[in-house]
Amino acid sequence: MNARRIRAVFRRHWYVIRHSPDEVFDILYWAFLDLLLWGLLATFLQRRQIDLPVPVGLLLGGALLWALLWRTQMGISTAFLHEVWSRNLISLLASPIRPGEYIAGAILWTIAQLAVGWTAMAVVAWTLFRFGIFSLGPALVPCLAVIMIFGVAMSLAVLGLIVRFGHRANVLAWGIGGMLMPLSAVYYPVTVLPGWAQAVAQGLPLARVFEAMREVIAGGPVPWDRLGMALALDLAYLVAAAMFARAMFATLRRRGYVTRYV
Amino acid sequence: MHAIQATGLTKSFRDVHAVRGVDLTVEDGDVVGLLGPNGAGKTTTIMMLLGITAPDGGEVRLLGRRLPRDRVAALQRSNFAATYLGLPYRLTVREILRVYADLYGARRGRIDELIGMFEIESLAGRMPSDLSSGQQTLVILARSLLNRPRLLVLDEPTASLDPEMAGRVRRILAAEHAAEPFTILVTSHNMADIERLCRRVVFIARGRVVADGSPSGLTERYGASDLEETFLTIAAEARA
Repeated sequence: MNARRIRAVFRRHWYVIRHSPDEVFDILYWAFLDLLLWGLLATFLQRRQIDLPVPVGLLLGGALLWALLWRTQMGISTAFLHEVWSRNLISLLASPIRPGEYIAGAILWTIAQLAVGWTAMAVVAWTLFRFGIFSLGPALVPCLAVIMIFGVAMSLAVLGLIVRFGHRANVLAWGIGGMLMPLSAVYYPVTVLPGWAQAVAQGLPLARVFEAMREVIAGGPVPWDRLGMALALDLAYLVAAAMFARAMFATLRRRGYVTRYV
Repeated sequence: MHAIQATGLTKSFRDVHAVRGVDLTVEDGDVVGLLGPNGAGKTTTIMMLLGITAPDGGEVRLLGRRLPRDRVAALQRSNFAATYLGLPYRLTVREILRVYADLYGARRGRIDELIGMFEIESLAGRMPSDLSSGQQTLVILARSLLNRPRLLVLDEPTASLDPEMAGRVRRILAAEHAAEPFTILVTSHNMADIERLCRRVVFIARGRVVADGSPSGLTERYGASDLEETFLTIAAEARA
């Protein structure tokens, strides 16, 4: 790994944002919209004294953690899509940068975006709805880690599909998160899902994290076993996604798909 | 040392045999033209030489390094420019050069040197979307010299340039080459460019090397009056 090449990737995406207020708007808009909608709904339920277990924390915690996943996956995927859209991919392939260095630069860039955007969301959640993400206590760090690692795994899978299928796969960058959302039990317990879907949800680290979040917000102890299992699943998905992206990249070189990016 | 040593390169795309056993050796410091009609296999050969496309058969060594194993070390000291490459949008020209200087480990002062050399000072603060295709090509060419490459591969470098700009590029390449010799492999359909730049030309047709020699030697061998006529003769023979 070469630090200067990783910095080059970070710098390249920082320059884009510096010249593109519309991209900043795009980063913040949907996440804030989600937060406002769920926060207002929770406030309404509370004011009507509808008996739900801590609805504000439950819904806003879900919205905040889901936004983290969404931004992690989108940050890395769109970084790569910028290379495709601007026909810069061949120049990168002809340069000495390793795929791992590119991914590392894109991950660092995404973390920088999250440090600003997601922190701002957390502050808004506290200011408007008195929900503090730190109410997750010691479970906060593993929850964030599991979600971010899964976001990286998702983006590697998307990257592999874009490399293999070209522009046709662009839509997956936006759609893949949405496909997993119902099974991830973001705003409701896994038991709400039909039987077959519960079985699928058990195989997703996300469902385990959101279940853990609800337990902690409801005042229960931190379910370390559940979080540990989520992390183990996470690492398995990450390895599988990295292998998939690597295989698709090898296919790009072998079959000469690179002409798609001319 | 050979700058390029490719042996038995083959590449097929489904049932199209794009490259059928190309052997190409280029000495360090030489300036070689890779010529051939459209669809002859020039760009596919270049993509294999740079490790962008994997050959079906054959072997490539760049600057003594074997691809794909030593790809990073080889590409660190090589560079590539082509008219079909894009520039990252929403970055200024100077920012693009800064990013690529980091990618290639080039020193920062080189950016200003190249901006001055290519006379693109007025473009440095502008974005690619504000540039003409010729101006974009100039930026891509400036970018390709950032790391003072030992091997520079140019695919149709002057195709979108007017005669004045093309002349400027030829002068810059000649001056850089005279100051510190490096290897240039260039494809072009502009035979005047090739005659001015190259000491040796390699003709490819239907995925095979069909002629190899100095521009004057090949012109004489084919009984032609200039390189353009030589090109037309070889292309006609390949079609027959």
